[in-house]
Formats: sequence, structure tokens, C-alpha cells
Amino acid sequence: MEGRPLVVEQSSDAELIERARKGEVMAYESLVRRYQDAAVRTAYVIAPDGDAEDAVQEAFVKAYRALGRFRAGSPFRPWLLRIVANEARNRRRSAGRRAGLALRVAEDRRPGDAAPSPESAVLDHEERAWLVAAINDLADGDREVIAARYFLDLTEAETAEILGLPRGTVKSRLSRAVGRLRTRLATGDGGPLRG
Amino acid sequence: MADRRRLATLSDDGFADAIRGLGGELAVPTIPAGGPDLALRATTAIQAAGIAPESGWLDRLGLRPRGRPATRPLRRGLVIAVVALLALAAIAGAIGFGLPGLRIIFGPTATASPSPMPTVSGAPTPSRAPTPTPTVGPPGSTLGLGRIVTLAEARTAVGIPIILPSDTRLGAPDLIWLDDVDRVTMLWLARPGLTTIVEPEISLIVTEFPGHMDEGYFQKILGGGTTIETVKVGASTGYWITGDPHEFVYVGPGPTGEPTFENRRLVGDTLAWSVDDVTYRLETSLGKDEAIRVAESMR
Repeated sequence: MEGRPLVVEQSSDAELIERARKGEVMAYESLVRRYQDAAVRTAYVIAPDGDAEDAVQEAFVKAYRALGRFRAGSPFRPWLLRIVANEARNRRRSAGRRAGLALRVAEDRRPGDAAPSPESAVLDHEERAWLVAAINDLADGDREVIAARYFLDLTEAETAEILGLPRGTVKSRLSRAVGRLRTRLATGDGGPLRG
Repeated sequence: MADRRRLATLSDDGFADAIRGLGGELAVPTIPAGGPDLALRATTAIQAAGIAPESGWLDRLGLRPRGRPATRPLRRGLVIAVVALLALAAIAGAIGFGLPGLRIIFGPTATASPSPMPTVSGAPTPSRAPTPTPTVGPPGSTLGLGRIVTLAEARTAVGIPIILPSDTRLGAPDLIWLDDVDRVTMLWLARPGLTTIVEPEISLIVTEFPGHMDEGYFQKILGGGTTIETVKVGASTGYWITGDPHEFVYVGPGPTGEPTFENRRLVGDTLAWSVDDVTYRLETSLGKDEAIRVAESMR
């Protein structure tokens, strides 16, 4: 860590928020550090073509400015991640041609990557590639609910809060998105899935 | 080799688990070890800009709808800035001429010295008045560019990626300035092959600041002898402004969201473009093609 000693902060979120609201920037730093990995992940899955780190840093600045409007007693994480998601989405809209979600390079081929059994949810390399390509082909709104619900492992309620959607919309959009994925995978429909 | 149709035959729960498992395989960026993390970078930017949490009066009165997010202050600042700009245009009696993404006002013909900015009712005093009398100091010290910093300090302090020309003829900038609205200005001094611009001693000025020209951040008052041409800078649309020296006007939200005006000085040939949420401005006497080449070399 550059410039400042790394101190393990034991205070609760609520205590740090209270101190940060009074202008204690260090308390805010400790608070958002707890969620920065989740924030980067959120920014990436919402806008894989953007600079996730920049989006998160800017979102942290905006969240600090907006801290007075945070409802005391409610969970901080989804509130923060919603700001991150908005920031990432705004950047995605300003970008031109898009790059989709990508797999880690190290995941390209695992030694002993055997074909999975018919009922296994563990995917082999090609299945992972097909599934990512199919998800990238979805409309932004469908991809966002898939990403929030499965890649960020959020509940339906949290997904709704972070994406700024009613819960019913999350539910129906998720069901539709999964249905489209399954159809595409079954039929091989869609450019990246051909071949 | 498994067939992809196998995926479609999984049960609903199995398919959901398969997607969930994919989440762990994604190429999510990792924060480099050893450098400042994002929390530190954010709080450094917060402190540099003097940002404070806004009052939560709606919360205290219990009136705030649930989940209203955080992006309002900036937008409000922008709205104020745009309103102030319109007032400014009216006061100047200028004829507005809009190109996509850049608001241009043809104002009075530029003169040899900057004229004071008209006062806009309700708007704060210009944050940096021009400094008419040259003083002894490093190049750029009379231009109201802020303070001299290292590249590393600039990168830590501002919330935008700072990029530099990779053209080997230029080398590293001779001086880097940072002001209080996160604007970074890099200067290259005159040397053989690089002639001076309007400012003595200086051959190239590159300015980078948060904001996109589409958002009304950026406006020039052009004299009658000034022309503007739409150009391509890489994949972005840029503007090449040339001819008589013209006044450069920056309008954008200050540290606490209020509009900030600058009436800094007369500038010469200028190339301006935006990439994502950063606007770049390059001032040079190299000519249009060379200016674009330098701009496209920025990494």
C-alpha cells in the first residue's frame, strides 16, 4: 500500500458511515475498501468493455458525495454497488464497439479437462466458451440480470436494488434470459455459437 | 469433446449452477498489488477536490424515496453550468452555432489581451483570473494552471487515466501542472524542431480533464478569423481550431458542483477531442496533421 499504513479496521459499516458522513475520509476509505473487489466485479460484468477500475474509483467518489442520502440502517453494499453499476453502465453507453465478457486466459485449457458427465453442471472448456458467447449475445438488460444474479451471486432483491428494477421485472427478465440461452444452446442459433 | 447441446438438457437448477460456476472463470480485472488501491485512489481524489458529503435533509425528514442513487450532484452542476453558459452567450450577444458535441460561440474578434468574463448573476466569481503581468517563474506559471506535480502525483490525484504522447521526438513533458478541478496540463518547452506557440518558451501544451464535450463542458469563443474543422482522432471525433488566437473557456462543475469558469488566455491552434469521459486538448504550432499524429500517439 502506498502512502498510508494498512490498518485493519474493526468498526462496523454503520460506525464507519457515521464517521465518514462527518467528513472523516479515512473512515470512508476503510469502508469502501471492504467492497472494492465486489465493486470491480460489478463494474466488469455490467460493462466488460470499460475500464472497471476507473468506473469504481469514480463511483466511490460519487458515493462519498451522496453519503448524506444513504438511509441509515440499511445495508451499505447494495447501495454502493448500485452506484458502481450506474457508473459502469454510463461508461458502457459512451463506448463504441463492445467487447463482451471474457474467460480468464488460464482457463483456456485445463490439463485433464475431461468431458463432463451428461448431468454435470461442471463445464468443459468449449462449453464455457459457448455459454459466455451466448451470454454476450443477450440484450444488455437480460445480460445484466444474469450477471447480477449468477456472477455476483446476489439475491433477487439485491439484484433489483442494484439494477434499479422492480423485483417482478428481475424475475421475469431472468426467466426470459435463461430461456433464450437454453434455446440458443440447443439450436446453435446465433453467430458466435455457429461452427 | 462434449456437445454444447448437453447444456440445454440440464435441469433448471443444473443450468443455473453452470452459469454460476462460469462467474468464477471470468477475466475480472485484479487490482495490481503494490500500487494504491481503489479506495485510496478515491479518497485521494476526494481530498484533492475538497469534496464533502452532501446534506441528507431528505433523510432526516424521512422524505427520500428508497434507493435514490448518487449521481445527482454532478448532473445538477452540469445543469447549472449549461444554464450559466446560455446566460453567458446572451450577455455576450453572441450568435450560437452548434456542432454535435461541441458548443461554439462566435464572439467578438479576439484581441491581444484577454477580456474579463461577463458576470453571470448567481454564479461564482471566476475561479482563476488571468494573470496579466508576467512574473519570473517556471514556464506556465502565469497561466493559472495550478501547481507543479510529478506524473505519478497527477495520476494519483485525478480520477482519469493520464496518457502521454508516445512520439519519440517529444519525449517526456518538461512540466506537469495540476489544478483544483482535476485538470492536468503538460508542457513541452521549445527546442530545435519544435517552435513556440502563443506562449513564449512553450512548444506544446496537452491538457486532460474529466468531462465529455457532448456534455456541455467545453466552449470556445471564436473570433471572426478563426475556423473550426471536424477531424478524426483515432476512433473519436475531434475539432481542429485554427486561425486567429482565440479565448478558451472551460465550463464545468467545480469541486462542490458549482460551475467553474476560466478565462485564461488567448490560445493558438488547438486540437480538442474526447474519449469516454475525458476531454483532451492539444495546443501546438505543428499544424493539423502533426497535431493529430501526436494525439493518436497518446497512450
